[in-house]
Amino acid sequence: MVQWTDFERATIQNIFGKIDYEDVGPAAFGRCLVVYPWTQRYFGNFGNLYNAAAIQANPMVAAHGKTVLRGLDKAVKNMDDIKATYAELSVLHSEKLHVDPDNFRLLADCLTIVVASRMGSDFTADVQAAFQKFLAVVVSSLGRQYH
Amino acid sequence: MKNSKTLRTRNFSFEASPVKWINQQDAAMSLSAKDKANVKSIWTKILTKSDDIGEQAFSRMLVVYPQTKTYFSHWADLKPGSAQVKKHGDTIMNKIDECVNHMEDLVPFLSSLSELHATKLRVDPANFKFLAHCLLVAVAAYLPNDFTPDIHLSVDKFLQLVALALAEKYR
Repeated sequence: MVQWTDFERATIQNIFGKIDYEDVGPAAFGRCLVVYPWTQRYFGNFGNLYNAAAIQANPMVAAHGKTVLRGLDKAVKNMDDIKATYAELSVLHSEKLHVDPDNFRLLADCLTIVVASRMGSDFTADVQAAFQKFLAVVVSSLGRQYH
Repeated sequence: MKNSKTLRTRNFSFEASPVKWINQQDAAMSLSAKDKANVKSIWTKILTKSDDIGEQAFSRMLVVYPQTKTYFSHWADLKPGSAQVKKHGDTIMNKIDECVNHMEDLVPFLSSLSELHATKLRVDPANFKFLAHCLLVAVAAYLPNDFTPDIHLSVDKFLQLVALALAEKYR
């Protein structure tokens, strides 16, 4: 089981309490599609992903970004058993969606960068460390049911 | 000179590979004219805060990826804000700033630094991506409106190539 310090718990609750899911979700997911364009392979039915402007304006991208953040919220509310929280989602991503789990890490990196841009100097090194630890647990849990 | 034949590599993950390629640009996603323009453009803004960003990037790396501290066990104080951390963040950032003017010839430009890292410092090249990531985070925190996804993409590619050039002499 993952051990969380008080600082880490408080930091995660604080960040997710502060950020606007409707803003950060689409921004992070859209950024991932731009910065790592091979991730677009899973979204053939999303329509126009031709360039950054199209991606940012795409309503399906925005909707999926929000879906991802809402999914993250589950982990925020269940920090002591993220593994169990994501067991089903992991099976889904592996068996049905066939997503290479390395992509979760790429999305996590983009999310870190978007949160940094929203929080500015409040996103200190310690806060970043806690946030990345949380995302690492999420990423690991999502990849856990792959075989 | 860009080789017109592109080598189909596997999905190139960001590992600085010490493998000697015939043409470095075949091995990595090379910088387009647009990428170079993007990097130069954001760097004019980065240069106004270069010291802060360099210090931020380096000190974040030591905190967020504590395994990187193993290379600095001879320092008295590894905490963010310490004199040694500040100075080293500065040193690294100044060199990266110079690399922006050498995007066409990174490998020769970084040749002696690569030699140093390979033979004397022996830093595992897998660590270069941690510093690169922390640099992106620092830039995002300082320049949120300028660090658009397109710029992020170009800077990420640029830093990958810097890392590759730095790993050139390893074996």
